[in-house]
Parts: sequence; structure tokens; C-alpha cells
Amino acid sequence: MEEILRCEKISKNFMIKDPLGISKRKLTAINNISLSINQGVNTGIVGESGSGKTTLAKTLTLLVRPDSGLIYYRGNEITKLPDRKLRFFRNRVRIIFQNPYKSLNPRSTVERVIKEAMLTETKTSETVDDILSHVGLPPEYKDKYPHQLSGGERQRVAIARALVGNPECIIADEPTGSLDAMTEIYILTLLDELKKRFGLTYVFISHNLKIIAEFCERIMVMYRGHIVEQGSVEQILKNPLHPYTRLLWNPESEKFVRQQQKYNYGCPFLHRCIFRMEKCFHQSPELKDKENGHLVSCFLYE
Amino acid sequence: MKTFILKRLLQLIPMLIGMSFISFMIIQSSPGDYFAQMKMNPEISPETIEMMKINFGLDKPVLVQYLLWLKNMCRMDFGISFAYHIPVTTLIKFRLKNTLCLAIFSLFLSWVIAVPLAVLAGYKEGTNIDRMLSIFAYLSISLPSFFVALLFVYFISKTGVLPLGGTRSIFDVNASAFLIFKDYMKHLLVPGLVLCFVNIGWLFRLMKNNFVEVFNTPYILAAWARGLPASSIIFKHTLRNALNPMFTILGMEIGSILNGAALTEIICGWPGMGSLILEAVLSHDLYLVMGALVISGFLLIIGNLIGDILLTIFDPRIRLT
Repeated sequence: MEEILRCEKISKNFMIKDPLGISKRKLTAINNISLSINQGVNTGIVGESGSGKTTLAKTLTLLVRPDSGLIYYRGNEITKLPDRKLRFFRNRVRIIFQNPYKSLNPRSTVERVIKEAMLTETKTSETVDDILSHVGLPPEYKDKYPHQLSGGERQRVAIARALVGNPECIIADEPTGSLDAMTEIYILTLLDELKKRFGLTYVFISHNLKIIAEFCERIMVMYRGHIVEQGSVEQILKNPLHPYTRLLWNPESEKFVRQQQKYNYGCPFLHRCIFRMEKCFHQSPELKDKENGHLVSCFLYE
Repeated sequence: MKTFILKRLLQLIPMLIGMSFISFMIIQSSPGDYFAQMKMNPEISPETIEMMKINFGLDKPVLVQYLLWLKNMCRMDFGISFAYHIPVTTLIKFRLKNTLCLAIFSLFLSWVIAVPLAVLAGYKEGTNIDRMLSIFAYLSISLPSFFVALLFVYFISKTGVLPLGGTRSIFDVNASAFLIFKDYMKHLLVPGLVLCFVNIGWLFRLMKNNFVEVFNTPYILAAWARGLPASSIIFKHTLRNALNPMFTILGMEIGSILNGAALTEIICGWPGMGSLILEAVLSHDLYLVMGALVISGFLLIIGNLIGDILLTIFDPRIRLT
């Protein structure tokens, strides 16, 4: 298995100022995350809103530079490279954003959107029509503007734009998040076809477990900027270990503590956990291998 | 597009008629008239005043007066100014030329300065450059135009680097056209720079806000993610989208040329429409006021039309109907 992207202990904090700019508060979006994305292994990242999934996606593509930690692309460190030198990387690792209504320039026609993506790529033999046909759009769509397209069509255009120049990895940040159920299925089927056709590797970010389970081979569960559990689909579906993963799998039946106050110390899941122990208040558990690459960060399994 | 322009130009007619009717009635119903002062003068006999009223057509009922005025206006005859005793058209023509020159000069200069600075400040948001430019913008917004004009006139009169007042210096009879033009521009510089300074501040603020707003949208992030060069992202993607609301502003600015510059014109002694309208209103110079109002209403509509047309050219989402 060839490794495409690897990050080591990356963290990103945001400073939040109050309206007067007097006091600052540190918000940890992602904390000490290490992961690697291997060729052909689709990775799913799950977690609730605000768990840092999108920041992780942006950091992996270096749209947001991490505060600490290193990012490697095929073994070369690229964390600190300036944007000019990242062009080769940007062509190989593409990102699709959640909201297709906002991710297309309202003044560019479909043709211009795709042509522009081609400019950064040196060796293009494909035409705009070819690219559009990959995503199931007829060539007449070339001259349309984003406001003339439906949500699903826009997302197809965004996918087409990501396909230019044969990328090896596509990071999809909730690609169906703002689409209706029917369109969602079409887009997912399309992504699945493209995967087989072009040998793409996806990093699929979603809060929808069913999609992740269907689409991915590996799953990472994120909570408040931490990876709390990581493993293959079977491992995590059949045997979820972390209390948060169990909660995600079965939100109705699982019991949890309804406590609003968050702790700034100890385990990140502390304030909602029913299994919490004395130890959990004092230190944060580390991600440890339970069995065959099934990693979990919880004191219950140590 | 053609039908749209035609439609808008046709809309001009009822608007001008309505506007002129209301202003005509207001001026006529206000206490006193141009002859009030003459009546006080014992040297002018009441018969002379009656004669003048008949000559100017002021002896008829107000409504008839208005209709007569409207009829004449259709033939581009705006009547005769009471105070200057020359046709209003001649008077306005000279003054309008000056005001238009002033307005075009200051508008052009302020846009050319404000937009690039706003892009710079928007791109470097939060840095010292941004802060310095913002302070300058606040200064420009908060200082009233007459105050800036007074300061500037004081400064110029102390140093004497530029001529003050009027549009031209005294020349030889056979001075070349170029020399006259140069002299005209020099005279234009004082009110022009004042207006430009006052205009820059809020243009800068608006443009910077637009720029920052567009710069933070996901499609700009997507452009970065594709590895496009920064210049293409700033100018092609962000600037073009950020300019959209500015076209409406431009149209409004063209529309307010006449009244916007009045104070500055008066203080800098620039013989433009602003001072003319003020004098005319103060002395109840009916036909002059009406003529100036028609011109400014016309400019307002034309200005908005230009803004709308520019917007459709630059924004594919807007279609004119």
C-alpha cells in the first residue's frame, strides 16, 4: 500500500476575540492528529458539527497551515512550502467543498471554471466536453452560469473541476451536505463510479455514518478536535469501543450524561461520558492500538 | 438591452413632468417673489413691475404659467433669468460645463485612488497598512466638505501654488488653446482635490468591505485549493465580484453631481451649478431654478441608467427587462 498523504501530530488553534478585542480565547480546532492516507484506501472522517472535520480537511490540503506538526506528501514534507511550490501537490490532491452554491464563482461559466482548472495542469489532453461527460453533464452546459444550475448540477461541476488533471486523491468535505436525499444518491453513485474509473482515493468527511460505512474502508471518529477511535469499517461497525462512537452509532438508546459544562482538562469526552472514572479528570487518554489497527483513545481499554 | 434603455428613457418623461410640477408649485406658493425687492425701491414705478410681470408671463394663473413653461421646455426654451436677463439655457450651459468638468475630474481621481487602495487594504486585512489606510478613510469621512475646502483654500492662499477662484487667469488675446486648457485645469485642481478627498473615504470603506466579503467566500478558497496564482485570485475572482455593488454607487454619484459639489464650489469660488442654484433659489429666480432642477433630475436618471447598464455588462446574473 502506497502512502499518499501523512500528517504527524498536527494541531491548529484559532484565537477568538470578544467584540471589544480585550480578552482572547483559544479554540482548539484540531489537536495532535496523526493519520495517513494510503492509495486505494478510502478514509472516512466522522464526527458531529464543530468537531474539527472541516479544519482537518483544510489543513490536509494546506489551505490552513497547522500551528504545529508536519504534513508529508509521498514522503516529502510540505508543511512550510509556499503556495507557488505547492502547485504540483494541489493538482494531485483536490478538495470538494460542502456547499456547491458558494464554491463556484458566480461570474464564471462552467467552461471557464474547468478551463481554469486546466491552466494549472501542464499535461492536459482532455477537453472540457470530456470532463463534463465524466460527471454526466451534457456539453451544452458549458455556457451556463452557476445560478442557472441546480444544486446537484453545481456539485457535479465542482467534482468535474476536481477531476481535471487526474488527481490521485480527492478530499470531499461533506459533498452532499446541502443536497436533498435523491440528489445525494446520484452524487454518491457518481463518486463511486469515478473512484473505479480513475483509481481515486477519497477522504470522505461526513456526519452520515451510513454513507461512510458504504464508501470507505477506514473510519476515523473525531470529537472536539481529537481522533477518539480509528479502524477498519468492520472493526468500528461491529465493535465500536469508544463511548462517543457508540453514541454516534445509536443516538437514541445509548445513555449519556446531559451536562452542558465542558471541561478544559482531562479527556475531551469527559462531560458526556457515562463511564468516566477518576483518572479521566486528570489526564487525556492516548490513541492506542487495541487489536489489528483498531485504535481507540479511552482509559476503559487500557 | 435596447428596449431596456428605451424604456428607462421613456420613464424619464413622466418623472420630469411630475418633478417639475411639484417644484413649480412649491416655488410659486412660497412667500414673496423676485419683484418683492423691486417694489421696495421707490425709483421703480409699479407700472414697470407690472410690465415686467407680463413680459415674464407671471400675470396668468399658476397652472397656466406652468403649462406655458412646459410647452417652452419642449422646445428647449427654459425662459429668461430674472436676475441675469439672459436665457436660462445660455447661463446653465456655461455653468454646467464647469460643474461637469469638476465632477468628472474628482470622480475619476477618487475612484482611481480609492479602489486600488481598498484592494490592498482588503488583501492585507488586519496589518498596519490596512490600519493606516482605515485611519485616513475615517478622516476623510468625518471631515465635512466645507471644512476641508476652507482648510485647502487657506493653505493655497498662503502658499500661492495654485490659482484660486474663477476658471481662468487673465491672458493675452493670442494665447494658445493648450495654455488656456492648462490654466483651466490648474483652476480646477483646488475644488477637484477637495471633492476627491471627501469622496475617497467612503468609497474606500465600501470597496474594502466588498472585497473582504468576497475574499472570504468558499469559491475563493476553492481557487486557492486549485493552486491558482494569487494575482489571478485577487484580480480575476475577487475584485470582479467585489465591484458589482460599486456600479450602483457610481450611478448614484453621477446623479448627485449637481448638488453634491455645491458647498465646495461656493467656498472655492468655482462658477458651477451649485452656486447658481443657491443664488437662484434665494432670489426667487423661478425659471432658473426650474431649469437647474430639470437638468439635475435628468442627470439622476441617466446616472442610474449608466450604473445599471454597467452592472449587467459585468454581472451575468442580472438580466435587464
